[in-house]
Amino acid sequence: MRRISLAVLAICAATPSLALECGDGMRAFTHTTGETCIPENLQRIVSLGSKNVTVPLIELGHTPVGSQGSLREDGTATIRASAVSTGVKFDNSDITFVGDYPVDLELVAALEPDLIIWPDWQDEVNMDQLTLIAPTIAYATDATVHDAQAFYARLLGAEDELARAKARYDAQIAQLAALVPAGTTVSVIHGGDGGFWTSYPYGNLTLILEDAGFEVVDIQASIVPGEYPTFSAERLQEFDADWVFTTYRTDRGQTPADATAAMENAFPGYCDVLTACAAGRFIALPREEVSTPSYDAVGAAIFALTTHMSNPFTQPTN
Amino acid sequence: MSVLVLSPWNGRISLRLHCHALVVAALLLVALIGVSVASLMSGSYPLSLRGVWNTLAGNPPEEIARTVVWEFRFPRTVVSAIAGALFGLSGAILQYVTRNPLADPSLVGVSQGAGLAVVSAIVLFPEMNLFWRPLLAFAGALAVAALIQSIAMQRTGGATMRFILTGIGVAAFIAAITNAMLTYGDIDQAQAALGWLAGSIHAVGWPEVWSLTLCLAILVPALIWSARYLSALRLGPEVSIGLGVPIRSARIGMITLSVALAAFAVAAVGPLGFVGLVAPHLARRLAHSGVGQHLLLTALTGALMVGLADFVGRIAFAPVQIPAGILTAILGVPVFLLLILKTQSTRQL
Repeated sequence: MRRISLAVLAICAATPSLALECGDGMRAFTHTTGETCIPENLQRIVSLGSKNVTVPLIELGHTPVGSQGSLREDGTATIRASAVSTGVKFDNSDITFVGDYPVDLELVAALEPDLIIWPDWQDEVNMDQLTLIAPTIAYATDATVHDAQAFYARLLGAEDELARAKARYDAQIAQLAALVPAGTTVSVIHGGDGGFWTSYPYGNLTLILEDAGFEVVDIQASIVPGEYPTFSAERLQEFDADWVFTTYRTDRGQTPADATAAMENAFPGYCDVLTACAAGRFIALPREEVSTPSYDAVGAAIFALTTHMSNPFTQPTN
Repeated sequence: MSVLVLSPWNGRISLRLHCHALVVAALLLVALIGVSVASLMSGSYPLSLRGVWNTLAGNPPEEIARTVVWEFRFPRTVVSAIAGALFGLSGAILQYVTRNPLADPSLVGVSQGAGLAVVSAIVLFPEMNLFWRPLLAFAGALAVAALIQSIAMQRTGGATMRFILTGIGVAAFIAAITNAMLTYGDIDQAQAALGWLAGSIHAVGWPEVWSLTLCLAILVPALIWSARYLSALRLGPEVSIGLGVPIRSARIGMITLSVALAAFAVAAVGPLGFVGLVAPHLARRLAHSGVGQHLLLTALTGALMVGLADFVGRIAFAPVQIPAGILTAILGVPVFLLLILKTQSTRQL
């Protein structure tokens, strides 16, 4: 056995290293789909995902030269979740709007990027095309805020900023957790066509809630990660919990009224059926703050939750 | 109507060409070249005409210009033209064989088969490499088309109507499964699948150029050779038999040819609807001609439709990109209706 081990070690030592060798001024960076040589000093990043790429980049101190954006109904483009998370928008920065889905490849090329970040949902353009323009790295959109921030901090060399942001998150969570009695249950639902849809985990919201000690109801906790199932309206009561949350999209001009209207449309009189709703514990939150991989956004969401948990008149009695 | 009769090789081949159709074909070719040149010159990356020309000649003003012109614009321009031609030819063949003016590649399940295969892959296997999409689309298109043909050819007699009804039934069944996948699948994956189903030329590159060129090189000579069968089949089974056409094998062969043309195109750019249906009618209304010339006009019309749709979709609202599949209908329907109205008023007069 020892001989075999030594032989294996000898073969390994004799085999050339498979590590990626990069030229001067470049370094190897491991990402979702492999390893790529990227510039050591990044100057001109183009982000192909607004909420999941552009926002954390800005938060960690790097403003990209171009970004994907979402189109509003009036035809203007927005960096989803950035206005509330970072304050940076297309019209108050030098960030160029490079299209939505798909992005405009020629415009990406015209920006002469030194790095392109491709989120996996942007699949109308592929890595092969983008690599012709500049080194391209892939990012998994379903990463948690912790994993996403760690990814971008490693990319930008911003580990110190990350450590401070993580410490702040832990302190905020500790403050919220102190308000949550053991066994407090929670669910997140949306009204849809003839039923309710949700997911598990539900972006950063589930992460925050579970870190703070909430227990997600069984029907939601049993959902396979990555799926967005629709449930029959008849199963509404299975989503009842001490606190029930829903969200609305501010980037589309929605308000809490849109979220409650969708619930009413799916199940007329839903608020009488959900005990949490009847007791004032059905809360609508803006989706951007609870789905963006940004510690600033997450901090805002935790503060909103802390405010609701601090209301002495809406606490569950069990 | 002036007709030009050519009899080369001591009369062994005889061509009867309608002069008006030749003129229209020349005009369509000029228009197609014009759209292609405009497509090569236009885009979000600023390049002058001289810059494009120098890049094509191998002297790009800067290295990135070579990528933009040779890797993005040129493949898109070529693929959109060839795919449009293939869809048009596929639709024309089906309309001749089935003698049904509403026939198009979706009638034989090509679009639905390709759609089901690709949507299944996107929704059920989201990690699957994009490389497999064209191959899956091609396999799905051929499999469903073969299924429809095998069901329709089970019994003799009334084959055309049975073929149409079988096609509609099986296509509807497959479309329902595809819709179920889109409804219950992951919302991000469903969005990606919808993008592909809308027909997009955004992601094409040189592999698609080569595959479609290969398709043209193999299938178009076969189509030219078999045009005489189409001439007979469009007159109905009785006349075809009287003219000595082996009707069953000719019909199977022509439908297989049509499926192959559309399957190559769908594999490259997705199921671009409407082109296979409308291009043959547009060509017919632009100039009356024999089958061979009509196929040429149809190919040019389809190429022009998709080429123009891709060009407009790429630059009209840049950097927002509009899928060519949406614009073929938006641009093609008004022209189509205009031609129908013009034809009706001419006949009333």
